[in-house]
Amino acid sequence: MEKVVVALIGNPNVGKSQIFNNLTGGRAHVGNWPGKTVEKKEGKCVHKGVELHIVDLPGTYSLTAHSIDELIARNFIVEEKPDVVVDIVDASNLERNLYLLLQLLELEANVVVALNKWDAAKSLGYEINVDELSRLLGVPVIPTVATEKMGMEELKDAILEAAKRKERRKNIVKYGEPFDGIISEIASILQKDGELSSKYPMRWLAIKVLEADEEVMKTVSKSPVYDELKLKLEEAKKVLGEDMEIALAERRYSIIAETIVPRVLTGARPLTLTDLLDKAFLSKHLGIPIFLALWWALFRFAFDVSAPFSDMLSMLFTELGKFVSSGISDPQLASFIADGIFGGLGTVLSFFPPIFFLFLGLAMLEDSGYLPRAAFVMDRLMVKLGLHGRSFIPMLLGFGCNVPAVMATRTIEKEEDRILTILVNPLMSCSARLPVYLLIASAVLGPWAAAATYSMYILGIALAILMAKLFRTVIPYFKGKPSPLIMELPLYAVPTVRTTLIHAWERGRLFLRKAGTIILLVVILSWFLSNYPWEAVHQNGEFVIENSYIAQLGRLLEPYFRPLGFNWMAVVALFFGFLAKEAVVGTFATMLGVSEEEASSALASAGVFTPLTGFAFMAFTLTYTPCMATLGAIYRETNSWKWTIFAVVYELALAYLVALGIVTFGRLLGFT
Amino acid sequence: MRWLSMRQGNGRLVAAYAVALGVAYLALGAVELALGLHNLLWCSENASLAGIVPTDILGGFASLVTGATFLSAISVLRGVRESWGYVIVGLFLSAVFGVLYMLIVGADGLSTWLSYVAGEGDWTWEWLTSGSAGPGLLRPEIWLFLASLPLAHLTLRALKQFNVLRGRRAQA
Repeated sequence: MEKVVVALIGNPNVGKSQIFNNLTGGRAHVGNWPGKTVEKKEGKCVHKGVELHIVDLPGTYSLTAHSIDELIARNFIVEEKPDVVVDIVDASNLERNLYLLLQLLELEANVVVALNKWDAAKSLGYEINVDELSRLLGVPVIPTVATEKMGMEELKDAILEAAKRKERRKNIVKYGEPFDGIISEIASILQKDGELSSKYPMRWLAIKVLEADEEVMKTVSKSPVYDELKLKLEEAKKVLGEDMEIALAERRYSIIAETIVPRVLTGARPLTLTDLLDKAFLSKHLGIPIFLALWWALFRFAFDVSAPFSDMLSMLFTELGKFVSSGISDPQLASFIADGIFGGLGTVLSFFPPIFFLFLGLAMLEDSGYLPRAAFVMDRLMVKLGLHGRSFIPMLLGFGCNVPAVMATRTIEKEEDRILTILVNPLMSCSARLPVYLLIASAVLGPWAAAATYSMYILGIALAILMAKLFRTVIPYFKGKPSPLIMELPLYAVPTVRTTLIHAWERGRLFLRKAGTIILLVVILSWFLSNYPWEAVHQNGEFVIENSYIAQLGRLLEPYFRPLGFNWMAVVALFFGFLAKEAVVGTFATMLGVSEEEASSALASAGVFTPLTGFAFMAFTLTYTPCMATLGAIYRETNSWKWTIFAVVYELALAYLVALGIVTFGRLLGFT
Repeated sequence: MRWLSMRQGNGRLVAAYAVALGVAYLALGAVELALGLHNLLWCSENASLAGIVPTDILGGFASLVTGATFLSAISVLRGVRESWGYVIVGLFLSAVFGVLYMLIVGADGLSTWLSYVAGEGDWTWEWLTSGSAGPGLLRPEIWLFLASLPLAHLTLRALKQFNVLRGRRAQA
């Protein structure tokens, strides 16, 4: 029986699996692609006496070498040379889907287009001229509705017809001058290498060389024509600019938008609320300012609106401490219960409301579909500054907790980009640091408290970008440019109260869990160190903390921090903050020997900080050594002590420099 | 084309309304920002304008962004359909900050009540006009949000008329 190998390809969520099931009757052999953990699905069907062997390729937006999925799909088409490649195109999202199709045509694959979700496109009001699309692209186009098995017989017919086709149209995609001239010149150089010309389509290979495609460059670097090629590439850079990959991608999109879509889509383009909102949210000029304004609103919501709820918790814990300790005759045990446990833990827990409100706001932004837009808007800036576009999502997660954020970097394919993102991620201000900002800011910064807290987040972002740029420039391992970001933007939706509350609670619960474990231990330890030797510290009913073990520890370290204006108490708080950043707050409360309710005012009256040194302390807390849990995650994800130690050392040094900079310039400007 | 009729009738009214709000927000933002910077750099005291416009650098920035978004809606007059997005997002920002400041005033009230219950202070109504939101309910962003509600009504009506809210295209 005659056999035809058919590869199914398409963007994610276009109905590829449904078409695979329709064609094969759902009978599939599932395995892995050789040497990869990506699933490979194969199936068979017989149509008009011909066996169709169908291979389901991974869903992909393009055929670059940036991800494993893209590479698998591309290598299968180049190396296995399937008889027919069925590109499943989402008819309701034609413009985006045509990008992959253009790349398949460049690859000179024998393409049949399944124009799926035809019904969805119709319901949106699209009128697609199938004949014109087929004529423009030089391939058969079959409208299908996979969910209703519509168009499946026609698709099989088209596959058989295409498999018999001997001649294929070449050079469908015209980039215009100077692109086409340079592509031809490079192709003619590559043509001289018989091995390359027998294996690859020359025009496609030339385009990939221009794009500096990693895999292709590895192959052509072994070619005898490589030296000649390098000279030509240098010339091309002068004409097309350094970033030819972006330039060619932009040309493809403009071919789609200007040449294909206007001829194929008749009538007005459907307009949705998402289109309208994106006009402003993704605006070149307003996108970033809108993001910053919304971020500011989020912080005022978290800081100011939650304040009375924090007061309620403070009152509750104070009363609990008084109630429990009143029934204990032993002064040491009473102090331990009231000040050590209820005092310290109560201080930390009173910061749960702002953290929960922050997560509530974040959940609203996420569930509404805005957060991916924020990532998209910031991507342009981040790529320019040397950070990878995909880094923004882990960075956003870092505002919650750096541990899952570090783990989320697994979505970044290139190891250099991934490690770079891991290294700068702890600079994103996690929720654990918020209680510290709130305590210090409310103690010494008065009406500027909210603005100072907000500025910590901006400072974190700025430092992360700055360090990424610096590492990219000075560390040879990171040299090179980040790969471009491709992401799907979901439709906007009105978040439901239930799911938003669940999302906020799930994240806030992590803080509570930490407060009940590691923070409690730190608080107990700091209570012990600040209350002992008991007789020396408690003299005639007075609390003389200067005589405590903790004061001795602080004085030992204090000289190193004196240029920053930090006294021994601040140093001790930072020391315990290494275990968990939230512990800074509990440590201060224990050292000051006050209830959580009085922590802020006690800190102010104790004169530990001036507004300037308080602000510098906040910046130091933001920047210095990641907490133990984050360090563990860094080690697990990098699998390297070298990078883990590097993270500790550079952040400590950076924190010192930033705090010193704030204090020095602040004093020069006349602040105290 | 109905979009054309929007451009001539309702569209013109909406664009004019959005521009007026945009100018108001820009003026407010500029003053808040200027007062905030003045307060930060030269004065130690709060230099609020007539007790109504607060000294708020970042709040001023947010008002400037809201104003610029509303002003961008002027291209609705040229028939650029997507520019209605600027009106919607401007209204959204106006609502976010209007509601936010009202919530802050409410939180101030709750804090005052808690202090009163704990015996730490007397009960007064001062939180209505002075507190974390600056001049409390007199904060201009709250009044501008209320002033934007008729525009929200006009915009919602237009969007429903043209099936945009259901993702349907405009019918000729």
